[in-house]
Amino acid sequence: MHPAIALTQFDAESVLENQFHHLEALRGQHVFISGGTGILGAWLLELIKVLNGRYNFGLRATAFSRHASAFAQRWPHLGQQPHVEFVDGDIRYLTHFPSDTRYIIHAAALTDRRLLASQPSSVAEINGIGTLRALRAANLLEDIQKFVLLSSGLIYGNQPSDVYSVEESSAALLSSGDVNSVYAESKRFAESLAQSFISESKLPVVTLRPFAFIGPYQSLSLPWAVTDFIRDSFNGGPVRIMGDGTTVRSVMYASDFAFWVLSALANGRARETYNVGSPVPMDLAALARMITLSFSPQPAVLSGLGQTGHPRSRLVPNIERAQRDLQVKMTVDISESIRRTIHWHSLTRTP
Amino acid sequence: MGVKIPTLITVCDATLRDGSHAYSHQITLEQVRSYAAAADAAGYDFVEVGHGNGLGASSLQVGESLIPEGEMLRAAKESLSRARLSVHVIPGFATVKKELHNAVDAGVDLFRIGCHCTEADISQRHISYVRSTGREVWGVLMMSHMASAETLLEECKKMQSYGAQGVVLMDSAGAYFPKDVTEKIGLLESKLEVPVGFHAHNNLGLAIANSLAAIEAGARIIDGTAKGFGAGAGNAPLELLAAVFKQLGHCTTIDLYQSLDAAALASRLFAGSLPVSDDVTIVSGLAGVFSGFSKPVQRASLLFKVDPRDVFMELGRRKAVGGQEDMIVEIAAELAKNQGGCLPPRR
Repeated sequence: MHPAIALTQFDAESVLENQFHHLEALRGQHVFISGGTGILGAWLLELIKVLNGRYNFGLRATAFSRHASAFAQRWPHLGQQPHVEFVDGDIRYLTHFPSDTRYIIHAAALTDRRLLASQPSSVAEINGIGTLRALRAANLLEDIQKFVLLSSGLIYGNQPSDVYSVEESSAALLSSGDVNSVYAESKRFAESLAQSFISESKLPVVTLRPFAFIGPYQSLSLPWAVTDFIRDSFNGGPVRIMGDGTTVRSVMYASDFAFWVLSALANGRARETYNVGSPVPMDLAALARMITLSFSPQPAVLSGLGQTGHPRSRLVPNIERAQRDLQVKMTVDISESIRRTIHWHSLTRTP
Repeated sequence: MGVKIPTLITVCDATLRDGSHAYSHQITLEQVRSYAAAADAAGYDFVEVGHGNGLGASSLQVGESLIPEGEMLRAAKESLSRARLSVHVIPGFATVKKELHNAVDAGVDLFRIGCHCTEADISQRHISYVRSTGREVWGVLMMSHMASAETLLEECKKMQSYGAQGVVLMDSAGAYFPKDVTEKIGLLESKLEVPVGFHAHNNLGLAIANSLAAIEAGARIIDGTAKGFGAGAGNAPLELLAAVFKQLGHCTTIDLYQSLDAAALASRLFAGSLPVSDDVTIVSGLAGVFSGFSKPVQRASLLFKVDPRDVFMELGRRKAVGGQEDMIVEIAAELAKNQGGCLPPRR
């Protein structure tokens, strides 16, 4: 077995080892995963592989995305699972789910920050209209048990500086007059659509608001802070931070993220909304230092390179509701998350 | 808007790139080595080298370089000890697989990906590629006098989202007034995370004033060239910037005397081609036409026996941008026809 595959399999087995019984509701079911080939989709498939292989769950999955076949070829250990079908398709044109579908994870979305700037109307279309399509199709199913909508922690906008962590009831502080709000607004719209279907059709929707994640299968070409830091460290550095490094985020490992989503599918209360992410705040300077410490020689970290005078930004979730209802916990801390992620990329990246 | 003075200004010396326009792209390896060493000693942060239109631009259309760009880049790199090597890149001229890849191999430290000021979308692949290599990359909006501050902000945000670690507004036509700089740089400075820069041209004699306005509005990057050696009426002369910065107490890594020596060297190396303000450069600035059009306009005007000032005015009326060099000949021919001028003989 390729060591990178062994690493993710170990992670999947570890996160399920003492928690798989929380997912009993999914035994023998058919789950449809839209956007099934992103970092979340890949990890859901990793966990399903273990649930079936080790715990005989008999869980069938349909992974639906625009690049499903290519993903299955790229990662044959996931692509050749007997219980998983890969379907190429665009969520904007989805008309129906397989008739025996009882559980849906709707994760299809444009999340690439580069596309948010270049094609904001496409972001609105795919994230908004795509969700409408998925909800309508779900509404046609005879025995739909749960529809998990992946929204975003970004819908909270700018977290007030005096708030330690945002609760699900926090009001959004978005500027609809700013095109950069289109991603968050599209997710807010998606949530409103979900509420409409809950009200009209009693569709059992559970809404998740994910924050920041790290792990294998996350492309280092994405211009996020954590991917930037890792990629620049692989290239010898320096790691550049535009601000003073005091921007605060929290980062969850991908295997925990995937488990929380499956747990929401199995245990989430319909109509409820849950934050998903690490509750442990960390500023970018500390995150950069932690990442560079994994490399030898340690790359330099340069900060304060950008324009000055911007307000400090903080986005950290309050996860008490998820912990209470979903029976979830963090199993991988940030330093271990970074170590495993860098190790995986060192095994899979082409120099 | 209050005056904002940054703590450290990054200075980019574009002499061996923008000056290539003024030298019909005939800069020699010896000139590259000599001047790069002088620029290094002068304390400029970046030394930009290459064809006037950037990597891969050497062509019959916009002028062929005397020496291959790979040799030029390696010669410059060998001459730099402290300063870092930068290149100008226009997607379309430069491809990722060929020119960018080769430039990475040649040791280029900073890639400045340029495009027309309303077309930042075309910079995404190039910026992403450079980030994947670990080298530094900035976005550059050329002909920025043609767009409003709000439009420039939108385009800069795109480049920032692609991974650009700085953005530079180019006054490619030398058409800015200080109030324009204050408005545009000020807005970018207040809304962007990455450092903002300004690249002046001197068609209206305002290159230094505009550069200072940029700094006072919050710019942290300033471009210039020795003796203003650059396209059209040239750029902000670095030796003057060095003197003014020193007098005003702006923080840079420039050594004033070495900067003056580099300028003196440029005078000798490029004697006869240093920019002067004349009727054509002034009119091109007024018309808001790309400074790099200066020599092609003069050649076409001579060929068709028309007034180059009329050609510039018409180019400005048609809002011609870099890459539309064909329009120069087209306009000159039309003017010749309409004015009873002389059409060149058919071959």
